[in-house]
Amino acid sequence: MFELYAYLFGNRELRNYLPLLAKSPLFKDVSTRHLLRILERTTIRAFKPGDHVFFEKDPASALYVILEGTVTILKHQGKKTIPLAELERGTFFGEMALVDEAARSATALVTDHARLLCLFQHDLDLVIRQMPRTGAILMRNIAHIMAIRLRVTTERSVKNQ
Amino acid sequence: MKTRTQGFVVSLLVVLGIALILGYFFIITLDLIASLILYLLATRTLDWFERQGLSEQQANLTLALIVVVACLTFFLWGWPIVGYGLTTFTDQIPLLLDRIDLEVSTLALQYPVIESLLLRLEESLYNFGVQIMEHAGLLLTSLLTIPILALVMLASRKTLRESLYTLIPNDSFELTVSIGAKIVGHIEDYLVAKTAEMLGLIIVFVVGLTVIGFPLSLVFGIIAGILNIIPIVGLVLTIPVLGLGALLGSGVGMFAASMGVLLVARLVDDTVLQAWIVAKLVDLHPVVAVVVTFIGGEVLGMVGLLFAIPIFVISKLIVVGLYDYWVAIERHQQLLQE
Repeated sequence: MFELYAYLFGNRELRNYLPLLAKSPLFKDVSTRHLLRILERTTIRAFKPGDHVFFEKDPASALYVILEGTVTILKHQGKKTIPLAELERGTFFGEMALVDEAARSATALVTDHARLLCLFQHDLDLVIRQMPRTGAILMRNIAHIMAIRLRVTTERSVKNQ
Repeated sequence: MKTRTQGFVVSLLVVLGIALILGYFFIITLDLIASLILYLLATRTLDWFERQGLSEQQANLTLALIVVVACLTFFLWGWPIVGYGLTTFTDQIPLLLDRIDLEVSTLALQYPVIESLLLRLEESLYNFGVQIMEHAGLLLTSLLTIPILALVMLASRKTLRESLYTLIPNDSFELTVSIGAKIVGHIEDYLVAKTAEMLGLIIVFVVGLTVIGFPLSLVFGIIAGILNIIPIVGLVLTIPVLGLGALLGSGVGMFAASMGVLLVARLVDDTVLQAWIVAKLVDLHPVVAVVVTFIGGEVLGMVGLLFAIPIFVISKLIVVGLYDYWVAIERHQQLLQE
């Protein structure tokens, strides 16, 4: 079904990633029709190992879904760089800045040849206004992942104490 | 600090170089700016339609329909009125000039300074008229070029964005897009706000002048509306224009009534239009606005008066954006060194 939709409406590159995106926690419960409409507004970008997707304290404007490769999230503390998480295919990152519109809280470093799907804030706003139900589902999915990540961080900090 | 300063200065020089080239090819630049404004206004409208729940195709179709209806309305209803007004105005120019001469000589007997001021105004208007006649062919070409350019940009809206993205290096991709989007967003807000203000003022002037029976109210209303978007100086420029129009009517009485309309328009602008728009505009001190407008007028004449503030506001946004960009790039380098 995905293939048929993609063949009819999507571009060739996105067609290859549709099954992956449909299973991504970001697009959980989003109908295929609406997913395709969202994807029309996204950009796919290729990164080499060692490339930075963004740096800590940068102004933020996008959320990224990993289509291929791995991305490490780093936090700079003085002269030390602490790896916070290693993210793989299908996961997404950079969602925090879209919620609070603040600067990036960490650096994202590409560790393996990666292809990332970029969803910009402006386009996410448009999706929310255009398809409120889908927008609500997207925001719920973002909140869900943020809650999981917050729990992990809390447990980690408790263990460290 | 070195990276930031060097990068910032080089970027400013590049921007200045581009500005000089654009300034040299003045008419082409005006065409480009006008088509860009048209494009930005169209994309903003399309975005608004899409936010209301229309699909991309439905939004495009709705905008196309609105443009067709607006053009038809203008050619069937607006153009005969404006054309008739302009013809009448042209026919009355000799009469008007005689009337001005008479009024000036009467006033000059009492106040000699008025004569020199009016002679200077007459000379400026004459020069402006000559410039318009000289560039009439180019202006007509622009009327065709501007919508075509805007249409081409609209048609390649998505590919245009993708093509621009490919030019940005990965390490500064999000940074560049964020700052670029901020600059473009502010420029869009500014243009939309100014267009809305101008349309609001035109409506107030046309209605007000029609109510008091001002001659050629539509033509003078449009001119006064356009002039009044120039901060402070626009108000000063509107007075002689309305004075000129009043001479076609009953003279001093009509002029006094038109000053009433001007007062109402200013009140509406200051209390309603500006109050609504101010939040979207870049903060600009009134003194700076006046100085910039005068410099623009001195350098580029009538065109400079109209475009000085937008050019200043847009330049300020670009300079601030470039500075933010180089501060961030310097921070990236520091992080990478650590």
